[in-house]
Amino acid sequence: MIHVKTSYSAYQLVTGLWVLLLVLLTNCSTARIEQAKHVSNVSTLEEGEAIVVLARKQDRTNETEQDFLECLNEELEDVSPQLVVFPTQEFMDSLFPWFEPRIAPANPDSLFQLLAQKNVAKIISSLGIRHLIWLDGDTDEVDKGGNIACTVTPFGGGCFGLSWWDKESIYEASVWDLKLTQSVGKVSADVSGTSYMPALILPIPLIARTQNTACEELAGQLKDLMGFKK
Amino acid sequence: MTEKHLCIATNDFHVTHHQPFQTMVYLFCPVLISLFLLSCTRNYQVEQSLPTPIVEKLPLVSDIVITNDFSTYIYSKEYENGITYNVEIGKTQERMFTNLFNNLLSTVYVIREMPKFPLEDLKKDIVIKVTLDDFEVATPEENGLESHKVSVLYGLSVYTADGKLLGNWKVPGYGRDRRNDFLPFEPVVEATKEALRDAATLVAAEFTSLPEIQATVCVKTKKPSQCRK
Repeated sequence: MIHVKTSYSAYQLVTGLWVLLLVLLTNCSTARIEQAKHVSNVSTLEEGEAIVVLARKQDRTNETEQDFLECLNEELEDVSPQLVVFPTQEFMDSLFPWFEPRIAPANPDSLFQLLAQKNVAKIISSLGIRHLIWLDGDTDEVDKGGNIACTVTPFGGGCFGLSWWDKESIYEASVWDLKLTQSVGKVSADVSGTSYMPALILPIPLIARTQNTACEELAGQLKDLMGFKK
Repeated sequence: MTEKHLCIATNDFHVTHHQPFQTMVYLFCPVLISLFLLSCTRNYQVEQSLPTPIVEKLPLVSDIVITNDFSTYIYSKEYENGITYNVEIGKTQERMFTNLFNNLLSTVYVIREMPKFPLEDLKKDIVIKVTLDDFEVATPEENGLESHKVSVLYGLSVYTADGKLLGNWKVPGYGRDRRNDFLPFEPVVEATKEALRDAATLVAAEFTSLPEIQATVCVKTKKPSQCRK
């Protein structure tokens, strides 16, 4: 009897390990990256020139998250000492109210109309802003399922079950050259992934970091678009 | 009533037992009641400082009517979850409009009530009365989203120096913020700040371009070249 019981536990352990391995293997993200250049030769930044990243907020139900904006700023800052990323809020304050969500230029034509205002053009020039990057998109939970039950007894407790959820991070960035008054191009990242939380006494979260992957991929594409090596 | 009963019950219990414990109950009962009451009321004081708008000043001298009700306004509402929200925005909105019009017009005088028309001071061209027509806070429980939402609606009534109503403009503002479970008071403040900034954006960007305001500038300057298209 004892022998049979031991074999059964070993079988459970092996099965559990296989399940865990399968879960680990399937816990990954798929990314689709696209880049569209609107000009053949993008001139690189000169000394003293900077870029600024702004998030679109017209569609207030799906606005870009603040932490994604911060992530992209950090990723771009790491490119090279030559690339200066101007702080977003400082830029908006310096040019209040012209880049506020309600009235910000929606396309290059309206931006260049705005630049016709001497005061605005003067401030942008004094800040050294060369490229304006408009960010759009967000991360959504598209599906979820499973169940985890937790119990506590006088002899101990634990959780059992499996929970999962799908997330999709879709972001798009448009680059406008303020010096040459033209649209440089557009990049987009569409990353989807499934996160799992198996629970065998302790719940173990296996998170698919779709937002982080989208941030890194988008930053990589932007560097390439603006003429910096990845 | 619930707190009171709790204290009386505890008090009765102590009379027949230990004196030090009774003293502790006397000391802690008011504290517990206060904590209970505090948990049902949330007070927010909104401080918002806006940047100077990049706009060309109009050569107009104006009275800005900001009533005491406006400058001491506190939004107060009890929600279905039993929590009362008190949002104090009076001082902030007064400062916001004063600063805004100081940057849009050449000279601004803040007054507390509507002046008598025609204005005695001939240097003044217009009178602007600012009113708060609506202020609403929607909690995540109400709006079904993961954020607090705040909406404001201001009214700007502009009169000429002889008392003729030039126009009545409505200025909406919207703000939202992501839910923060660790700091439950912060989202309301942040959403309110965003709503005020949104309303200020509209005033800063469009007030000086309003046809009625432009016409007043034309009449004053008597130089068509100075009139904006």
